[in-house]
Amino acid sequence: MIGGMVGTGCSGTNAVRYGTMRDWVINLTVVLADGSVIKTRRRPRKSAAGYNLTGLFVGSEGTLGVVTEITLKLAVIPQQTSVAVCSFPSIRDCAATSAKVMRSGIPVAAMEIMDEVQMDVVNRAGATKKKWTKTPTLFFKFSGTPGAVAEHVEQVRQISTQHRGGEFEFTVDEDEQKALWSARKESLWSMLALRKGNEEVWSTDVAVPMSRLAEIVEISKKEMDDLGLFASVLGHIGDGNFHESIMYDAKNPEQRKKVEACVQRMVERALEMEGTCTGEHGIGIGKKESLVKELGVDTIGVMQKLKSSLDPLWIMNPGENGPLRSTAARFKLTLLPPKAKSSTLRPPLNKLEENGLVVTHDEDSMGRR
Amino acid sequence: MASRISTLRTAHTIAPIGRVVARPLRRSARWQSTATKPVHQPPPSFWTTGRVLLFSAFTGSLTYLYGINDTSSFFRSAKESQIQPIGPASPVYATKPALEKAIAELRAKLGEDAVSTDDEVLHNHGYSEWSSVNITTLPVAVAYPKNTAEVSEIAKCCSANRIPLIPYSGGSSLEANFSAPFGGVSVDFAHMDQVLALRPDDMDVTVQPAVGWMTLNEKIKDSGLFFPVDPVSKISIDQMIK
Repeated sequence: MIGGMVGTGCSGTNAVRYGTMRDWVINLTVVLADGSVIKTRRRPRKSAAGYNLTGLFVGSEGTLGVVTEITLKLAVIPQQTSVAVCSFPSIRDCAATSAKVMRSGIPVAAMEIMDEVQMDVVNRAGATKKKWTKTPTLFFKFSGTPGAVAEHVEQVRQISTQHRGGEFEFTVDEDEQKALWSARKESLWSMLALRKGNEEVWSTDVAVPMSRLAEIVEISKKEMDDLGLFASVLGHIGDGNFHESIMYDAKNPEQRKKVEACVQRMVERALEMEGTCTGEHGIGIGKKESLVKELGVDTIGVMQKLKSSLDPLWIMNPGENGPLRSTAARFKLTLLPPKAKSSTLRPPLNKLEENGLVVTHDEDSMGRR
Repeated sequence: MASRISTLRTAHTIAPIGRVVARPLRRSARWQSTATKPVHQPPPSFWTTGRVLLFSAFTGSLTYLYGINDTSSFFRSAKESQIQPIGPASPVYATKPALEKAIAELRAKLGEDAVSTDDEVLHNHGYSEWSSVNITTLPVAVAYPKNTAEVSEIAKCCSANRIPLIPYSGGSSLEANFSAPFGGVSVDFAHMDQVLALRPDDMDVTVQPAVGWMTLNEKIKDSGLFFPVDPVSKISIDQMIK
């Protein structure tokens, strides 16, 4: 929903051509912590007037204000669209192809990579009519005027062939387009459908500069294989953003720890490559420490100052997002001071426990059981 | 040869006057002398070339280290303990009687149905099955405002009573974005799902928060326009699963 999309500043497969949520919001009507209502802008397509408050609230995850009305820019439905699929022997070939496509200035509408595990998952789940080859595959979408689409398809086909691409299937027919894109569309559901028993799917994402994507995907996949975890990679390769879906047994704490550690290392790797700990999903609770590592204490300090001035009582979605206070990220420390003391300023501990406002001890610092 | 010998003899044999005279003579003797007498060296300086270079390098390094420590946080390890907290040292939120009073207030302002404290509803609003992380606490109430003015009332009430306020729209959070570690009121925008105004000539549209992007595109497609940001939609996943 648009509200949540504004809150997380998200994006999707169209981001390589159209950008993310931050580029498509003209104005927001926001209710602040004290109840006052502001509108961040009137309705121009662009403006240079004053601070970019719209940009401030997009991606703030409800920590600075609650958004109640949104004015969005719209794009024109293209005259012609096309979908193309091409499989490659390795992820490096996929990455080389996509790099060449981007650097050639071909305005693809979407460019997605799915690794061989993900292709196999789609086959096994049986959600698509077509059966797919079990190798890394690139999915392209093209849109524009008919002449432009034909030209783009041809250029991309040539680039794929140069980089050991297999059969390059493409179509302009609506139904066939749906069929070709279906693997990409059904990928998440297919992963969920393969769960057995207590298995859960841990989905996470990072983004890195485009030139480093192939490297981080390969290293992450290798690590997953070494740990014996079942994981698939799905990426918006044109943006350097990829998602990893890891299947694990939710009732097995050891496996869960392995997965957590793996995800943690992947995020650290992404930060080393000058990337970000989340490309689309947002920070929430799970990635707060990564945000500190990513941005440094001074940048976080600016976020804290903004947060404190807009929400001095800290009531707007506490526990989320960047403006951490040193105790907020470990809320068991916040609300459970040593039992010996009891401050007259704070409600006594047992009262807090009664109200369900206290987090139990058997959770770790990230709030996970 | 003879003159040199005689000059030397003069320097040695004549006494005080001779000495006075002899000094310049001696100097001139030195001038004229072709003997390779060792020239008197100045005392060796402490500052040899090597030592000068070493000292420069040392002070240079000290200055550099001072300089980088002084400037940005880039080089400071981002340990959480170094973040100086700004704002209340620890969040102090409402106690039970205050919460109950606040819920009663909200019910009075928004209507009885607009605030729910039903267990199942609370669970739906605190726990995301899509999230890899979840927590045990849940919100204490869920409010269903119908417009901006009602949201403003909720915010004023929460602010006056120190109750956390958590917005909730689609519920497909992947990082526990709507979880409620400190309890509080979840604001569900389910009633605010209208497309308020479509302006095809300006290519923009005003919507409320609970409009899904796929629904929006369906509604506006006759205008030849669409909204291009396309994250995975929970509605479509739910439909697929069914």
